[in-house]
Amino acid sequence: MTRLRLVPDSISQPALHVLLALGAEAKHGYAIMQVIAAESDGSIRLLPGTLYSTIKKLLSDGLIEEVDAPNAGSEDARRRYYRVTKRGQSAAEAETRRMAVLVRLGQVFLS
Amino acid sequence: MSRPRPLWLRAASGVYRLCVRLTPRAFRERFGWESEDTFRHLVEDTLRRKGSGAAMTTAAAACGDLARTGVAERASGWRAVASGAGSDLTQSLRIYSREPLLASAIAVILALIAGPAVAIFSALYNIVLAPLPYPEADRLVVIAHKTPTGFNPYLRAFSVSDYRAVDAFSMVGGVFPVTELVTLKGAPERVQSFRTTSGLLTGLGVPFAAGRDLQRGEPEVVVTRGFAIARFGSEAAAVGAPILLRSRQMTIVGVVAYRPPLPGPPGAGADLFVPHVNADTPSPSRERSMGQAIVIAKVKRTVNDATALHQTRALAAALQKQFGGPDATPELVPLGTAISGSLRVPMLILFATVAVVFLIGATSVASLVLARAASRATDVAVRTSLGASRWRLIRSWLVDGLVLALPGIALGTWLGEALIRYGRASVPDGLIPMPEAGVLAPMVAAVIALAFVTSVLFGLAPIAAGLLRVSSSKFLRVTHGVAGLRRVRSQSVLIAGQVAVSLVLVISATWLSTSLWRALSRPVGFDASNLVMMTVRSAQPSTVQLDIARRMLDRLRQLDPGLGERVAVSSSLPGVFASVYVPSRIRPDQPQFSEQDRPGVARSAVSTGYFGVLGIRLLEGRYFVADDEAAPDRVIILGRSFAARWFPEGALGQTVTFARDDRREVVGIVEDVHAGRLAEDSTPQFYTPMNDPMLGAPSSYLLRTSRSVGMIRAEATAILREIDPTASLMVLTADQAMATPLTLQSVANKLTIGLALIALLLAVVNVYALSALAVVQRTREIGIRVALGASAGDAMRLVMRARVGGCRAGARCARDDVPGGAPVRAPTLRDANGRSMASGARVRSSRHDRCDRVLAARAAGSGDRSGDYLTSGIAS
Repeated sequence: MTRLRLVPDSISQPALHVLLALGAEAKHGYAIMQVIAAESDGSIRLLPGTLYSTIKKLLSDGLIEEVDAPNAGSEDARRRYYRVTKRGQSAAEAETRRMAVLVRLGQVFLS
Repeated sequence: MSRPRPLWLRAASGVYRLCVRLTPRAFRERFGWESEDTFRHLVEDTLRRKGSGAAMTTAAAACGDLARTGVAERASGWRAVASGAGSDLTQSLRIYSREPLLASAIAVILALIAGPAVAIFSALYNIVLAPLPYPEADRLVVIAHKTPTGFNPYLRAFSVSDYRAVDAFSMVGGVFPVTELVTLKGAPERVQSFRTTSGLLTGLGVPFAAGRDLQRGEPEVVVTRGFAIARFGSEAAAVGAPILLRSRQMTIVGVVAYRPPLPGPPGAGADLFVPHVNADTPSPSRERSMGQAIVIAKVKRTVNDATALHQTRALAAALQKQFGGPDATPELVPLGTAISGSLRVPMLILFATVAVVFLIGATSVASLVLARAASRATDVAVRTSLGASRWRLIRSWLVDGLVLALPGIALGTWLGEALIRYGRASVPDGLIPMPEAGVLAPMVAAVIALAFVTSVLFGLAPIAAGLLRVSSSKFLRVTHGVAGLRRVRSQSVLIAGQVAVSLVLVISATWLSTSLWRALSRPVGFDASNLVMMTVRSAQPSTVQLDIARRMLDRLRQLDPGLGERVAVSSSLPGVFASVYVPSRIRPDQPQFSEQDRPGVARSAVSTGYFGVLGIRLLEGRYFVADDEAAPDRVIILGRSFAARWFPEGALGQTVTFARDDRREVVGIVEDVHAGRLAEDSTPQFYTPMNDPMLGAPSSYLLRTSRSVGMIRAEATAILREIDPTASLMVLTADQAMATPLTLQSVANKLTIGLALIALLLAVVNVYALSALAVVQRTREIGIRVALGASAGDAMRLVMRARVGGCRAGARCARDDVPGGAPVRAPTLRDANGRSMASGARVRSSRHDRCDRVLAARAAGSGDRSGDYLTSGIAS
């Protein structure tokens, strides 16, 4: 019988960026891209192909979900908005912790 | 006010849109617009903030990124499909391990239809469809003379030189099939050979693995690669090796890369090519009886067929005018047709038979798969309810079909190989060109495709068309619901068709067997017991051959004190290889035959005592006597059919004329000898004395003796070496000589009977499968009937009635030999239970009437009314 995977073992780097960029409020794709670029001072750039492929994967894994536009009518109605689910939040926290451990280990070994 | 977008940005958007098209459809539909929108914003933003250079770089990077994403998305889609198919495969194997009987039945049926199909298709391809392995093979022709029964490709040997004068041909050569006695080391062996003119193999474009082609007038031979490797170890080692041909020392000068197909006896393949001296260097005096040759020509590329034929006929007419001889019109027969010859039509008929059996088998497999599908309705319904998509179900069925088909196809391919091996072992060497390399890969691929379509798509089609269309909640009701009358009707028609075809095949097979048995038990016109037949092939001129024949006859008569009266010689073996002659006239008081009406007659020049040795019964007049040889062209003995056809008033004493100054008196009439034993009507026959100049020197010796064939062969060979060292000898019993056509007929018969039995078996399987399907579909109805008082026998009759109706209709079709036949009336419930109901309680009958009415109403309507039926049935 196939084992039901509740939380992914690890998530990809673009996926973690998307989860972190989404934060607590719902955003559309271009806004996510802008947040990532702004938060990383332009050093990390997620292009549309990778962005939407990542969104598709996160949706199918249940880490994010699609929600209605927060301010209907203000922007193009065809834009879709996404929000992190509880499961996504757990996955992002777990991945961040894992990376923090990795950073600490790196600092120990490289210092 | 927004600024107009620069041209490059519009172009970049177009390229990006194109990249969006490269992504999978699902991705495109979900994220296509959004991705384009984001791209536009991204590039415009970069343009505004960093200038056009950075914007262009961003646009290019975004396009590349999307293209990579498209490829990755597609790859992940295929990975998902492969992973799903793997789990489907495991599932199927698990199910079939629980249903081994069904899986085995389908595998066996597929093997039974695929095996003969692969074998017959391979043989047919070899005989009829395979292109000749020569460059520009479509321009190669055989010059043949038209006869009442087809074409005669055997022309006089000097015809090769004659036709070289035709301007339309770029190459003209001659071949003649012979069996040579070859001595390499130790005992001599018989090798199937072709006498060929010099340069013919090169002219045809046959590649040489080593050495060169024959040169005119040289004692040289060419062998095939197979022959060279088997005897010498390699092609190079064979070139230059000495070879003793009969008693003549020759040298191997070339090795051809493969066995080139050439016209001759059906499918004759040869390993040795020896010079055809008579065709290559005809005597200056145009000696008109110096051997025969099949003339092969290549039409020039710049000349069309009509011009080539016109030039050939013009030359033939001019030669006939100059040198006389029989009036014959040459035809240009494509080389492929000349090689496949008479096997083409029987093979096509066999092909059609196999195709029909294949179709019957296909429907049987489809029925089994369908019955199984219906029995797994619950499984499908559960999967549908759990959210399995239609494609997921279809894929599962495809994998199921594949699992079912593969063992059958593997078994069938093995069976095909076995059948080809059996064919090679059963059919005399060279009679049918059985495939050298077993079954052909393209044929296996074609049969795999057909079997796959049969086992998978046939089973899938009704599921996909009917069952998957309904929602999961209705699935069970549809599959377990009451079978509509229309469905019963279509099943009955299907069964009728299958039973009809099967029965027609069985009847044909029985008829063939009866014909063969009748032919075997039919008198051949002479006594074949203790009769030994010898054929001598000599390279000597015909004038010398006659003397050789006389001396050989005398020596054979001296072999045994009692043998003198029991030895004879003739120009052809009786009832085996009678040479057919097409005379221009027969009666002097009647005009010449027109070209179309010229009859074919069998002629034979025989020694005195021939009829006595063979035991051919004299009906009127007398046999030949020694004095007749003084004027051999003045007397003639006719066979019964010949006399009855042209001299119904009485032939004895009449005059027969075959040419202007030819006059022969009928001195006797004898019983017909049946050519090949299987012919229904004998070809009209006549006999002349052995030294008749119209026929060649006699070379077939007949001995009535109880001594063994081996002993006769040894003694005759010793005598022949003394008299004619150039000659070769073939010794057979009469039964062996006549076995060839019988063997061929017997093999064809066995094949047809086998196919007919397979067809019948498949039809029975199909009846079973459709009955099983009907039971599955009508389970609920049967249950209600039993609840209403019907017995188990009634229920069985209900199901069987439809099947029996179909079988009966099929038998009617087979009897009338009309495919399709009369429409089959769909059985009603009253049909099923009618008699017991009529004699039983009226109450029950009325209930069934109501059932019938409801069913009829349901069949007339289009909706699913099984609920109505159930309500109605339960209420009643």
